[in-house]
Amino acid sequence: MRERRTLLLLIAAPLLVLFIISAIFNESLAQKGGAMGVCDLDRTNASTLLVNGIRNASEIQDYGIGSDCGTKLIRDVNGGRLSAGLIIPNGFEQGIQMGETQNITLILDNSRFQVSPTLEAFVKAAVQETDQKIGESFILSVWQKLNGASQDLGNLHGNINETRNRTAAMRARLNLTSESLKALNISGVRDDINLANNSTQETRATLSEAKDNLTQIESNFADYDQTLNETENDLVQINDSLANISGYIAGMKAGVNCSDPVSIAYCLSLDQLDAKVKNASQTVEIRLEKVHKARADLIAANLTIQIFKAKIDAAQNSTYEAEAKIADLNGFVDDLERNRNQAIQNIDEVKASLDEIDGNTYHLEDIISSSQKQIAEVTSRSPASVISPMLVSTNRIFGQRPFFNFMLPSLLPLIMMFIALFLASTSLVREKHGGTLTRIYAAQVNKFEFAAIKVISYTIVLIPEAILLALVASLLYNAFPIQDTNTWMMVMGTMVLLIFTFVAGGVLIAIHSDSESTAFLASLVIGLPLLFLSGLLFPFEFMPPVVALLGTLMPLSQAVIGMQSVILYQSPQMATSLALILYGSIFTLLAGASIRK
Amino acid sequence: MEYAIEAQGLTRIYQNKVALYNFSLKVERGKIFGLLGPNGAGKSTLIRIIAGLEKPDDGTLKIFGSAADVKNRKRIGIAPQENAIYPLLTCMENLLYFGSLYGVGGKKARTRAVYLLENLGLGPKKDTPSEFLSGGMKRRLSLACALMHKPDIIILDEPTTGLDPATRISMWATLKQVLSESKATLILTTHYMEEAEALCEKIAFMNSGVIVAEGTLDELKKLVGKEIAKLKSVPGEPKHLVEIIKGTKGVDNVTATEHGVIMEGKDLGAEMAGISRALKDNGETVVELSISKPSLEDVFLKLTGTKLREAGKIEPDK
Repeated sequence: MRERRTLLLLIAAPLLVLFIISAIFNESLAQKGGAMGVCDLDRTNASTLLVNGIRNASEIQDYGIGSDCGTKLIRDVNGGRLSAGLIIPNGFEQGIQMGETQNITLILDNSRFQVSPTLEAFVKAAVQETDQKIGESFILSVWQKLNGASQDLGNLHGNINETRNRTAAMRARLNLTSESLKALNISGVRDDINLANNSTQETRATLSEAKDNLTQIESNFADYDQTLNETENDLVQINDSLANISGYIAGMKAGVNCSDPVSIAYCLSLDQLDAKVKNASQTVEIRLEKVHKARADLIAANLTIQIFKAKIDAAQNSTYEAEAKIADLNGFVDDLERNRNQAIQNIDEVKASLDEIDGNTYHLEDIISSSQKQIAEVTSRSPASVISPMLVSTNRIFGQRPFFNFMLPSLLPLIMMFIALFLASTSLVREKHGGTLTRIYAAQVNKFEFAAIKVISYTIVLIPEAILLALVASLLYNAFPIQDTNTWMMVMGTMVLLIFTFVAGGVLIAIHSDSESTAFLASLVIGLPLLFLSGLLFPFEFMPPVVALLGTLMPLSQAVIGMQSVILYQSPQMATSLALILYGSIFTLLAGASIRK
Repeated sequence: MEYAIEAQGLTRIYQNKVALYNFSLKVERGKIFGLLGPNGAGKSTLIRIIAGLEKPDDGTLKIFGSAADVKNRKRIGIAPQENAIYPLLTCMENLLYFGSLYGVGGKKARTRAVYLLENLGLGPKKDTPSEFLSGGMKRRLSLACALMHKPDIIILDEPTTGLDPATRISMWATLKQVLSESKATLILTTHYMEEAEALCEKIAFMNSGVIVAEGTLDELKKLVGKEIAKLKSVPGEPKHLVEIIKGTKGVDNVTATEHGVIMEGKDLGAEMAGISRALKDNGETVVELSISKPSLEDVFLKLTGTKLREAGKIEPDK
């Protein structure tokens, strides 16, 4: 603890780590997920809504709308220049409006294992949010359509009521018309009336004729009654003559013994004559009765005729009344005709109403058709397209490679960094203590030359270690194909550069360290912040911009980026190599300049 | 007279410590010059300045009459306190490597390496990694490394520290042999007075960044000149002892040290009975007493009040 630098480093190291971590996480927890490229070929409200949703959580890099924007975006993701990319196809919104679930592809660099899940979650959340908004918008439009349909149906309801009222009115009018029409056979009626009228006149003539006939009959009956009276008188006289003859016969018989056989014949003749006379008298009586009866019948007939005549008179009077009624009937027919005309008018009105109803039915048809169309439009969409108008399919550019494969490009530089730092710093300090360094300094070697030779020699010493690590990474973990010479060359090139850089850093540390513990601690104090700022533990995207920029510029970060570009993306970045060379050279120069003589 | 090294008014001050202060020194060419002093005396700082490993804050340094620069510093061969060899390299590789630092390469380097290895008794070990060498061999290899470029000035910092006495004596012989062949100037620092006595033609005692005494062995011993008695008693408070002994017959001078007192006198052995009595009368019990002719150690102890041997292990300069 007497070594001030060691003590200082012991105190400073935890504080430095604390400061760096606090700098990394000093921003709010609303972390961004890193830049995401967007190629929005649709440029519609829906696509803009989605893009804005993503923009709220992640930085957006707009790739424009050029036909090659998708290609550029995929190339950048595959090249490791972009963590993720989203291509929104042309016709995106139209498809959604047509109820077709839109599949959008998220091209994800899943080697960035700290960031890619976050970005994927951001996109899915944005898609879900946009889905929700589009769904809400759709449901709102459905509500509006249904409200429109409901309003139309409400109007329809009014129209139906109106139609129903009209129908009822029509029905009433039709009833009236029907009633009117029932009494509508006007000409027949009129003919019948005329016929009745004629019949009445004929009847009256017939009745007059009948009455005349009856009067004639009555006259005849008077003659006939006189005749009957004369007949009766004749019959009475005959009857009296026959009664006198019967008295003469009874006197002629009265002195004759009719029992003496000589008188018997006589008597019998007298009896026969008397019987004949009595028979004739009986016939006359009968005839007289008949005359009496005939006279009674005649009286009855005459009475009947009188009644008849009275009836005919009455009938004649009735014909007058009938004529009067027929005259009334004509008035009725006139009324009927008026009614008919009224009925025709009513029917015309009914026709108009029917036309209106007909018109209404077309309107209703339109409304129904429109409503059906709207309902069909709504129901034609699958529920899934309403719930999820968009689906995100994630295209992980590295498929399902083991997680460790993504760590290796960072781990290799990290391991080599610490090895290089520790080896260079502690070995050189050991040389200090061993005296060899004193001997070398005493040899008046140029200090920059000395620093460069040390850096180069330690770099060469560490190359087998780098080869071993690369072999293990390739053979055991399939980080890259063992037979891929090109990748091997690039990996080794990057490894050599990073070894050079950190060996130079280690030499610089050693120059300023008095003991191995100081050198070790100094290496840790330098290495740990580099580790924290390398993006391996805490991705750059989570850091405040200034810290992220600083972190990206750090040599370990450059080595990691370089190694990732070689192993994962097969697109070596000259910039990282140049940065490492620059860092290594600066460290070497600083180490040389720091050598005290 | 040509001086291999001429230092004038060298001052080197670290943060709050004066390592060298107005330090002046002249080392004659072809001589063996010893620098003696306790830890922190400034020996290593001086060597580092001479070797060009540090720059003085003030003062001048000349090497072979010219201001010290890269070119004339290449005429210096240095063997630090440590073995200063790469343990994983063989003896030959170490020599070739350090030779290369001075521009000695190729066949010439190999020939020189073989020569040195043979002369320093490392011939059979030329292909052995130096980590497997014994302590003495490592020292010899370190010396060989310093000699690869045939330096005109050889600086050896504590060349025999940590070696057993036999190896140390062997090392001295080796050094003498090398110097006789190379005619180089040797500057060595050491804790071992007998080493300085055995090797050095001229010696400088350093303390706290300045030279407290300088001269040949005899010149230095003359600074003490008489018998020296070292006495340790219980309780033995040095100032009290000085009070008791001062004025005692036969004692010319008493110096209090942290280890007791040092008495100087012409015939101290005869006077010791009286001294013991005086001490006893004053409550002191003598626990250690030695009477000797003066050595460099005695000179140093007298000059600095500190034993060189007990100055402890030398730590590297910061």
